Amino acid sequence: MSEGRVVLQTTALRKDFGGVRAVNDVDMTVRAGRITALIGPNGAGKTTLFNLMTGNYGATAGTVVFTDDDGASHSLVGRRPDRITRLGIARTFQNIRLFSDVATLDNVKLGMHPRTRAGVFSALLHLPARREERTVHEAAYQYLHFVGLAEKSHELARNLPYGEQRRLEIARALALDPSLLLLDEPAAGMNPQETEELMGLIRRIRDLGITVLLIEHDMRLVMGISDHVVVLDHGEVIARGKPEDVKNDPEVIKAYLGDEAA
Amino acid sequence: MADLLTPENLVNALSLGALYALIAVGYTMVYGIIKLINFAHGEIYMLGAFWALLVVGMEQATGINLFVAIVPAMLLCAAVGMTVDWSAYLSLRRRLPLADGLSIGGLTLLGVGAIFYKLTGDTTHAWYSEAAHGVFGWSIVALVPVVMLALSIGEKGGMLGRSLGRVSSDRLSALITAIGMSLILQTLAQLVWGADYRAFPQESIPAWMNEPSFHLGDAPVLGKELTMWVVALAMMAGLHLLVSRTKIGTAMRACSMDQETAALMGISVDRVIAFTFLIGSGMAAVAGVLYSVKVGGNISFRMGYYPGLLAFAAAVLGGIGNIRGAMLGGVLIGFLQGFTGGTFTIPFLVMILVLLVLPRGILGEPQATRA
Amino acid sequence: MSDAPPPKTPAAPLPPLHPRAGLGRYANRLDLILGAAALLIVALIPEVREALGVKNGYRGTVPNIVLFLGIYTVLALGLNVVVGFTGLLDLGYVTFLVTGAVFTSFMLSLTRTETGIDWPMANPEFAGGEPVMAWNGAILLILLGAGVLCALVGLLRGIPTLRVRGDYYAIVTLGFAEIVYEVALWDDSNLLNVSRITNGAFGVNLSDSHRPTLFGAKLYYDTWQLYFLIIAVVVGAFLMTHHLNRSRIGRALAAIRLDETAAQACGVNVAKHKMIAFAVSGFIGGVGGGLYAIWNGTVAVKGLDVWQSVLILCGVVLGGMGSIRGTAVGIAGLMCLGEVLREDIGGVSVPPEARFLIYGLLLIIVMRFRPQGILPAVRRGTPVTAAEHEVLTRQASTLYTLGRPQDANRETDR
Repeated sequence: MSEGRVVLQTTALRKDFGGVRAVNDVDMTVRAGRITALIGPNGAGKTTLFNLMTGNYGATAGTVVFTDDDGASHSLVGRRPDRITRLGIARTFQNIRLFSDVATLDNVKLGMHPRTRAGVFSALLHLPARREERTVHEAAYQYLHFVGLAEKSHELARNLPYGEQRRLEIARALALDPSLLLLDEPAAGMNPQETEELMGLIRRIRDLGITVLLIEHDMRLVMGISDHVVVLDHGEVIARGKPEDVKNDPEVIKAYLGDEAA
Repeated sequence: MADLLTPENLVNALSLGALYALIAVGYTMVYGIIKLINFAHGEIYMLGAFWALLVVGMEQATGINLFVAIVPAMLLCAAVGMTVDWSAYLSLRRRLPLADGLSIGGLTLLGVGAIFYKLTGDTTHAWYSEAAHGVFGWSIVALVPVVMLALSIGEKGGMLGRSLGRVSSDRLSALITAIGMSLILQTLAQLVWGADYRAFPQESIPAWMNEPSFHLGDAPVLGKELTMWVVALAMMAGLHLLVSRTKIGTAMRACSMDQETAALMGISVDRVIAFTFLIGSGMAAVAGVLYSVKVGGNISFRMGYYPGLLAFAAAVLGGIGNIRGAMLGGVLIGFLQGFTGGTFTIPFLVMILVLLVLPRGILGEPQATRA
Repeated sequence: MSDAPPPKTPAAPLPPLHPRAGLGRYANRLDLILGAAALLIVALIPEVREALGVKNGYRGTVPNIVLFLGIYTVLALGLNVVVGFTGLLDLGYVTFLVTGAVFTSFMLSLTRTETGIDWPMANPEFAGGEPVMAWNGAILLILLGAGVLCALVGLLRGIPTLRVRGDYYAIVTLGFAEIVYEVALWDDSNLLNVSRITNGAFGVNLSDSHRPTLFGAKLYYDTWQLYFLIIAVVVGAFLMTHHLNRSRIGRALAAIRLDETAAQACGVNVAKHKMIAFAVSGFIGGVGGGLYAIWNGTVAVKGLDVWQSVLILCGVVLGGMGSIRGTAVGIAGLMCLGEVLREDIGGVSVPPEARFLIYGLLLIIVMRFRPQGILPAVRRGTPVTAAEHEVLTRQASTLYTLGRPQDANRETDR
């Protein structure tokens, strides 16, 4: 596989919580057009790493550099989450964070927030906002259709079954028109059938030209769709490479199963 | 500014500091555990003064010493504090059949005094108005055994019924409920005891309290002021020991860190919360009595509003959720107000500035954002 | 889910959508028409007024309560922007009422004298002269100014709360209201002689010559011109908040209310949108305060204390936070309840302070048993009709907008 350009690069990234070092000098590269999986045992620091990338946590040390579609590089450390989102990084959350009291379609419309422009006065006076709203309405509907939720456009998000909530969160992230999509355990709590569908969805997202970085425990999904795997344990990268290489890495087996198994 | 730095102002500032510290710990403990600004806390402080006044005699002195009256005032306020929690906040936290029962029962009992009052007319000096006081007072007293019983039996006896699950009631509901509770307590007090400013009868106050015990510069420090400082210091020390050394203190700290984990460790979170209200309310009651002795003649239904607000500012200043921070903030706000001629504006402006510079307060820990 | 990976090719623009069936999208307009009709009926037909026990105004025929109600509806609609849309508890909304009213009364009392511009408050040497702002229509400018001033006050008041948890907003607004209340009574012994403008505890009284003029008539609390002005402002506030709520900004405010972290993940600048809410809320409150000054004729800060904030908040909570029609109904219900409680019922009169006991109970009971209020905000999206669905999905199979809906600029909205 040809090496794509570097979309996201972390260098010596570190995060301490009090005396606990959750992420320890992580160097990690995400390349364009690929599905990269971040795996590791519980408590390995995967979600912390995500939160460092999206600005939800401030890093103790190290850098995160993101290169956008136009080739411009941005340092992400110290940037607010919403600014990072605007650069083109969208994410989902481990414990789904939808706007549960809002209709499905409006959840997706919220994802289009950075791309729309109507200001306070046009909002208050309802001036040119009208045309933009129509475009937003149509586009949001199509994102819903993309993840297979078009029929549920007017349901409240919290009334959707779990698997559909996950997909709705993905639709909302897609609506941000990201160049890099971070998925935090997208298959958690899904049955095999739903996971299968999700794998198809993630592939289709990649085929749109969106780079995907995902955290996942479901090895079938990880081995099935990812182009590159990074293994994290105790906040450190212990292995990286093609899925089949990583699967047989003794370090990885030790991390997952303990010393005896290795 | 030089004319503000007088020994008189220092004495005043120290007393105000003691007052705000005593109230602020109640705010900060409750906020630390259930993340709620308990707006009714200022009203508890007001009720503390009124209960003591009822014991030493509102119209005619009963001859009971004020220091004796502090004890029932504390107990009653602790009970009212818990009742506020049980009747207003508990049912927002969890759907419990008994919590609903308690909230309806509690609110009904709180309303009894007012209804009785309305039936008996609006003269505060007639005998039936005294009866109205009695009914209101006794309705609160009657709540004490009910609450105690419920607490002691707790979930073990299944008395609370099966929990119907956590309610994801948003913080706004809780805040509005707190405002409602504050309104209810304040207007009830006004309905029952009228709008007059009252004072403790001189017979109930020991003579030495109005005599200077020593001099600070050329300003005399009266016995009542010294008492206030000493009592506040002692209570702060006691609270510190309670929180850091005892089992219930450990449980309180555990609950303020993570309620769900605390519950998994076998801590009865509701009981800890009730205990927190109890302690905070008791301290507010002491503050209410002692400060009313110090100023003399300020006991009225609205006396809790400004101290409550300023004590909350003190809690924020010190870092909300942090007990030592509340003590420090209380003293700071007391000094700011004492040395600026008792205005409200300057302490509050300082609180706003501190929020701008140190959002977590002086002793507050940095806030971790959860994703 | 559709099967094959869709090509990312642009397609022709969508044909126009079919109009939605049903009353749904006109419901808010219908509210407005019904509300206006109700106000007109009460105002115009004496028999209805008599039957409802509404008293006539002293000078003319406009019943006082209608105007009173109108002003408080404006205030409640403004408060709803922060409490209902954004989910922050504002306990000091009276600040805007005070600021708007004081500003209006100050502007109206400006007088041109031989020595320059002066105003009569607390000035024993005031000799009289020509009112500056009494010309026909000047009041509209003044109201606008009151709104802008209060928007600025709202921003100022909001800044300290941006970096802390939302519930600090409650305490900062409450404290700020108390500061305004205290500072408004400052006299020459304090840092600033604010009483020179507010006239301290006495308040500013608008004399006949300083009354604002609109449509060629001097505005008094019972003139038709004021009635129509207030109706216009109510309608304006109604439409403004309605459109705000339905716009992308309204959606962002809802996102902040529901989950700030997720809102940020959607690229919403939380601080900026909170500030927008504070400013809009302040603007509406300021205009409401200006109307109050004209209607009451006297602006005494002493009477405008924290209870006013609580009253307006009660109306919003009762009607349904975030629901515009609910807010209007809630405040109307509360004001009418207040009027009813004023009367003797069966020989027993409720003491005025007991009203707040009832308000407090209302707050708790509503929060416990019906937190969404009497007329909750409609959260469910409008269902897409079958025809619409067909058009949209036919287009969606090519996913033509999975790029940018228009040539959007990511960085415009900082």
